[in-house]
Amino acid sequence: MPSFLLRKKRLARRGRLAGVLIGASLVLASCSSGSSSSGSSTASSTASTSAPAVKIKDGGQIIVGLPAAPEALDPATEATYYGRIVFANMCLGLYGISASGLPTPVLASAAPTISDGGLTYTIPLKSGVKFNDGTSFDAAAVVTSLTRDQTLPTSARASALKDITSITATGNDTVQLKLAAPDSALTTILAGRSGIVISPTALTKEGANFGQQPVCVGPFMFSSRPSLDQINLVKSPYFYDAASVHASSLEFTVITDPSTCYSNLLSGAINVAACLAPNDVALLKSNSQYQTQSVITNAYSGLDINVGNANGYNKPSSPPNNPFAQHPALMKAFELSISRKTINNVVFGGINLPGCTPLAPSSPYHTAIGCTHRNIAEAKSIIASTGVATPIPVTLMVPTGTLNTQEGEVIASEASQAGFNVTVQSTEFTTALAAAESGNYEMFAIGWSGRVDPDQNITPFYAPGSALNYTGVQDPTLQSLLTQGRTATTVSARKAIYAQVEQRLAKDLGIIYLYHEAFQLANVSTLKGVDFTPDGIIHFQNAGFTA
Amino acid sequence: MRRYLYRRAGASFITLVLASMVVFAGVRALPGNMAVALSGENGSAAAIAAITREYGLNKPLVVQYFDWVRQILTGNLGISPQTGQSVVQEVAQRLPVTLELTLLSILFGVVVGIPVGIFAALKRGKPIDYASNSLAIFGLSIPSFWFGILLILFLSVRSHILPSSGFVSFFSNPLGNLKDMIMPVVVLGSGVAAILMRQMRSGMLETLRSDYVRTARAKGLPERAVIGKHALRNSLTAVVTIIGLQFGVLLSGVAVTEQVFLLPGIGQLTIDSVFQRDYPTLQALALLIAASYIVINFLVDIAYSLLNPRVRLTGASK
Repeated sequence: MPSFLLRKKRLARRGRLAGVLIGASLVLASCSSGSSSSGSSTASSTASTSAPAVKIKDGGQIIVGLPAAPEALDPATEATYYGRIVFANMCLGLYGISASGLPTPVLASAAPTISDGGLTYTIPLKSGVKFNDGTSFDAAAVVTSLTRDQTLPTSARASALKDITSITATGNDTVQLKLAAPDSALTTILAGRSGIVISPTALTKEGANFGQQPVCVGPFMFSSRPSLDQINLVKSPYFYDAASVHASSLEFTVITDPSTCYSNLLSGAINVAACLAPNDVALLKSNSQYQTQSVITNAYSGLDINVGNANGYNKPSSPPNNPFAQHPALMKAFELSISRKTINNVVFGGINLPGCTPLAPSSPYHTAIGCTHRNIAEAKSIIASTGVATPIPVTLMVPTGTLNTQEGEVIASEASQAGFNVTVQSTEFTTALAAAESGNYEMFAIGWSGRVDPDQNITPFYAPGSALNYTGVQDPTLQSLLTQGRTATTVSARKAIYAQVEQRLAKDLGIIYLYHEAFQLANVSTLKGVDFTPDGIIHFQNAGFTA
Repeated sequence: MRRYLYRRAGASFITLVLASMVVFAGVRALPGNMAVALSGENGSAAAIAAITREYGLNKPLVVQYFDWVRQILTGNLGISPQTGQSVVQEVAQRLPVTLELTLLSILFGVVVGIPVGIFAALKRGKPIDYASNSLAIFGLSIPSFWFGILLILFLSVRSHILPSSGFVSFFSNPLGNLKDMIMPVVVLGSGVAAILMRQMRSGMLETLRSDYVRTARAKGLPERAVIGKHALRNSLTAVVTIIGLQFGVLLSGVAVTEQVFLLPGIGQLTIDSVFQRDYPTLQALALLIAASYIVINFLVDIAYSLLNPRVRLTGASK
């Protein structure tokens, strides 16, 4: 599992470490800056999507602190969450994600027309749009980009677009996609990096080095990347809605340490901080000089339990020699022995949202199924029914880092009361992933960065042979439901199917879902119009400083 | 002398070759896989296979090693899978930042540590000696991370005297560059100063008790000449070794300070490369650091003979 999650976990680890080490200095800093403020509080809100209400002046530089560096800025190969934030401001796609969490047209002029039983998508395009090199955006450019996403050997988009069998420009402003099988997730997929359209002229000029000088359609255009940790964008004169763009430039700077991020925000070195630890954001909420935003994203964290991955994900499913694989009922006992609410409150200060399915409540496909609550008596009863002698030894692998270790220790402490003897094994993240893929683990505290479409939050973790199916679970009933979910064409029909999926996943299929993560953002109060959408992406198109 | 230099150069070359093997094997021994890390969350088997082929990871390790050596000899260290940039270009962009930070920190350590060490030795048992020792303990014990944050809070957040972070090249903005460097240099240099101060103090105390210093004083030489010409020069031999070692330590260990002050040096790049299993960059950085240690040790040996004529660098071992 991959770089995004790796970065995210690393951030979390550092965040907790910093919080422990320099709590006193944070308080000091807070007092320092808070003393000069009016003392009014800016409440944390969900995504701010409205246009700025106050008068915004044109010009000024927005400097954004990100906790990890994006990879080379090629939409076909880039695979980090922070890369998505950069792309959202310089490389628009055919579709975007609305405040309601559904795809909305961006470079497309309307939703696709779906015909042939879901096998043909006809996408109308905006006209009069120009790339940031001044060349025209048209259907041929869309064909070039999508074809490249499919065929580039190192493409990270190819798997998402694998069902597309042909891409044709049926006019200057219309593209037609033919699919091998219906895929309801396609529009959502085109709202991500797969839907970004790049300039064919720039692609011809840069070739394999396109990621060094990316050219797309966007409110800002790439200017320079003097080092891995700094990306400079400037306002695009070619953007079709240039009047809505206020800032003259946008800089992304990587600040991996949350306390450094905090001090940089306080000193004015950055205007926007997406690199803060939760306790830093809590301090800023009481300071009128800063605004904070928080969104519960589609990301989730849970416990993967190895019940069928004895020899590696790419080998036939086979139960390993551990108590959960031998006695699957123990998974329910373990779930009953822990409290999601306690984990969230103790480890994360209550900022996340406890949950027991892979779909966050913000997803239009989510159905509340009612989570189990901690019940030690019932957990003990289940354990007794299996006949397994207590204490049952369990090795819980957690990625290194204070936050993750704390989460593991809270789980260990709670589970011990039911009869589980949990050993927390702190493991460097990439090493942990290698162990999970090869089946060399028993229980793994791991999460997923989340996608807007429900299928992408479930199928990769349960599909036979999938590199993300660490648990080795193979459940034909679930697979059948997931296939139905991919082919159903309306939101209501899909929601009904995913309600069944969520019910099925609650039957101890190998992952105990714990909570949905909150992404937090803070910016100086003089900066308005920063749009933090439910997919955790930050948009600066309408952002600007107060006049 | 020339024979000695040849022998040392030969030994250094062999050490470097062995170091390259250790670096290569060590990087490949890391669990996990660069192709998987690069392919992203939804990485398909085809993408992983393509990345594996592109970076030659499907070849036998010995072949990969010699490919790498061939690249080194041609000055091409490959392409960083993280950034798509040439590794040489990436390192060349960042190395000057780390080198500047290291050199200035050493300079700070020398300018502060050596005089204070001498002074403490000359005023042994006096309040100034105790104050110097306390300062040294402070410099040795305070974590650089904590010290850096405190400096930022007081000098940037509260007083707005210095920028909290960032870097501009000395050649484009000398004053801005020095402003950016003050806090990181104080953070890193305080540890160096503490070590040098303690070494200088103990070295001076030992030298001041030696017969030749007593003889120099008996001959009626002024105290300044006794200290400056006789005692100091002999005491510096050990200090030079410490400086050499500290240079290597700083060069390979500035990551935390670079992180706190957002300096785009090689420290953060090294950490990112480890987590991303960026083999080409990681190998280049590890080899660079190993080579710098070898070169520094070589230079330190030469410096011995310049500082202390009794130390002769000859080819024959005695």
